[in-house]
Amino acid sequence: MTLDVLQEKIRGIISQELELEDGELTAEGHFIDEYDADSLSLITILARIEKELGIVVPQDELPNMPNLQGVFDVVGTINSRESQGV
Amino acid sequence: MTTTVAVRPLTITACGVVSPAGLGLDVLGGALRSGVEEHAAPVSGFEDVVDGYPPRPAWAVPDLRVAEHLGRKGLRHIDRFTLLGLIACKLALDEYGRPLTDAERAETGVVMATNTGSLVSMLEVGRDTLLQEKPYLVNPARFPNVVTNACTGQIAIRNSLTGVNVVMSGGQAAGLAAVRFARTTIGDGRSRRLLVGGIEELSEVAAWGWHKSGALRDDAAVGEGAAAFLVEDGETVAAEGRTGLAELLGCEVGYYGARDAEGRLDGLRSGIERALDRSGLSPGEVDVVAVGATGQLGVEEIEERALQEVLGRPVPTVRVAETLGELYSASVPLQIAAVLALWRAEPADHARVALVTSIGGDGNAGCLVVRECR
Repeated sequence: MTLDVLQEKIRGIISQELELEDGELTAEGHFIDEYDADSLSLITILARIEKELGIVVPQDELPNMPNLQGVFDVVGTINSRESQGV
Repeated sequence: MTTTVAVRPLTITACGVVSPAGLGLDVLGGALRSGVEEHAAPVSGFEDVVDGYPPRPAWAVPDLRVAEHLGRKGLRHIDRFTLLGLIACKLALDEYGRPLTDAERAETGVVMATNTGSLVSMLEVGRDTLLQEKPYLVNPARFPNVVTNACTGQIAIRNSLTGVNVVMSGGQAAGLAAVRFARTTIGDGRSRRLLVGGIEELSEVAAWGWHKSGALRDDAAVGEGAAAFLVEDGETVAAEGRTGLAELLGCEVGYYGARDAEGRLDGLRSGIERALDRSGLSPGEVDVVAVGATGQLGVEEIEERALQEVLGRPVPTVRVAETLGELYSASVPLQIAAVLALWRAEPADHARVALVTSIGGDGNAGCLVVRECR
């Protein structure tokens, strides 16, 4: 899966879980402050990324993922580490 | 005649109904008089898991237009069962004529008849707990849906109704138990007003359950729906110079054994007699009967016989299940709604009286007396 495709899928999952319209989710918009996310919706997002994209994100990474860019960064790091077989 | 205490009436001041006929009393009245033109196909709650519906009619509520009634937010993890209840309650509150004040909402409670809550949600979460690799892969946002009172909780939260919040389970007659509970609660001053009703959701599991049980006639449909009535103390409503759609008078319900046909006949008959007696009415004053056991083998006959023995004459009879399908927990609320719908469609020059009867294969049975407001 290319990075672009991966990021589009992540954007879709987050938009669905936070009940956002197309285009509403920005890279820097804060999940909790701007999109009314709660701990349950954030855990659901991690579970869907694991279930649907096969990428296991530890829950202690949640503080590093306040917005979409944060998710891209964390998932990107985990993904490249796994693909290098480290 | 036995000595009985007259009941203090509850007045229905607004009503919301969601059924295979559509939304509201008017479409229900039309459907009861001329049938549903084309029943909506049921929704699949278990895609790729269950092999569809059994070979018998299954009648769903048509397009719910959820966003139109409830908005777009906060509904992603709300199941269909709760949506049916939320929309029925929204329609009832809208019909009240003005929004309830904050103080009124604090004195308003929710009493809904359901025997199971959402079977679809229970099975979805239950199945995931067995099949998913890790505990956190069972969707935590779906978990609140598995409890029986998830729906009444959502109704209260979304409408800021902080009065009593209760679900009543009593088989086919659960709706009668809900009316009894409402009367006690309002009579004791624990709530000023209540949304009272019931909910049933159509699903493959419910339809297969009815199909395999052998309890229904082969051609009997399984349906779904919800009805909610805003009820208040009748004397208070009258004292404030207001009126309503109808009064809920005598309501008797009991358990008479699942296997003893004679015991159930006696139980239902005495329930009808007591309900009329406590309403201060005689059998001769009954204008219409809404029966609940239509299509149920072995029970339908008991209901018809008990009514015949008490009334002693043919009385116009509404068979809701013929139009909406078997509604189980929601049957009594939809029987009440059917009576209101027909009265609205065909005005009369006197305050009419209806009997709403219920008897299930589980041994629960009873009767409610409803009188039109003039």
